Amino acid sequence: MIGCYDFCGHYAWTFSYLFNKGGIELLNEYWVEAIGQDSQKHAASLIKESGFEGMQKYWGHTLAEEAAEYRSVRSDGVFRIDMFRCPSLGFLIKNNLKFYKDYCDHCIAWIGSVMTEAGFTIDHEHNHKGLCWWEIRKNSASPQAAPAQCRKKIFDSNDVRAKAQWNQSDKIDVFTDAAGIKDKEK
Amino acid sequence: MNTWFHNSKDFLYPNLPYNDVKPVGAADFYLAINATITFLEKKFGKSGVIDYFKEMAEKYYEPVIKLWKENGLEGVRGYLDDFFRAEPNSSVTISNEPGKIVLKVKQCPAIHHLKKSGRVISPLYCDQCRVINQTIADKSGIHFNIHGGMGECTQEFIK
Repeated sequence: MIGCYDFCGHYAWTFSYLFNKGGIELLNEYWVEAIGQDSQKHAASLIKESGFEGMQKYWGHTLAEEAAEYRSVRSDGVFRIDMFRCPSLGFLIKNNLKFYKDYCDHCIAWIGSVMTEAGFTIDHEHNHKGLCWWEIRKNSASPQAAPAQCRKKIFDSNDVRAKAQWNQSDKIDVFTDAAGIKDKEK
Repeated sequence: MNTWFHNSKDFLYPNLPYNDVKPVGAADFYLAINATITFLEKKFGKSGVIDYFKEMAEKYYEPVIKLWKENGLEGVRGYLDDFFRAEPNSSVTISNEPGKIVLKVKQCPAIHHLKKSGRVISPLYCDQCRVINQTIADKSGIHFNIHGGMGECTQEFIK
């Protein structure tokens, strides 16, 4: 049986399987359709119906269940997550599993599709070591108008970019006003 | 090296090839497994799903093949004991009989959670146990039988 205990392991293995079969197009289709629109459709419904409250409810449940170390803050126009220890990538690192070149892309792929459909846009960075941050704001809100916007400056002392581990990475992927993996900055 | 994920020798389940820091998996991941099977069937048909299970058994579960091959039914027993301890809301009995291990799944944790969540369960969902366990058993020199499905089944591992 395929278990949920080691889900992140066979999930990552599946990325590599699909990438080898159909490249990034098939893999992205999997993240958007199978994960975003099917597996996580409860998240999509919550976010569509209740916006930031829905995000808080969804991530409050799922990140607790996965035993993540993170903080989320919400202010007018912005929902922010700082992930200090990603349980999902952490599982792969702990078990030395290296199946696919950028495991972290799955998050922006499925979350990006869900947020776009619900009328939100994303700023996001991940450092491939289990740390990342997200700012999700309504499409219509300008970055200047959003009080918690912090693309260029540290938000507060709990901003993951202020942690020593953030800079241990030699590669940080950056997404601005993003809807998916196609928006990764070169 | 990022050392903060490697801060203890905390393998809760020595008979599982991959270990987490938490004692039980997150049941919502069954939703993703079901969605993956549905996606693969839509893209590649039933044979594509079966190929996916076979390749996963041979590659991802390669350490389980090694465990069963080296330890025979004792390895199977240890694996099944640990596996179902780590899956939420599973109800199983595992018994040793002469020359075989019998696993009775009274409540499959995945089917239970999918039903509870109101999801459409892929008709190929239970093929994962049939194909993956069969493939691992074949490669380990163990005979495998399975009866039932969709929530309750009996699996036999015979040496």
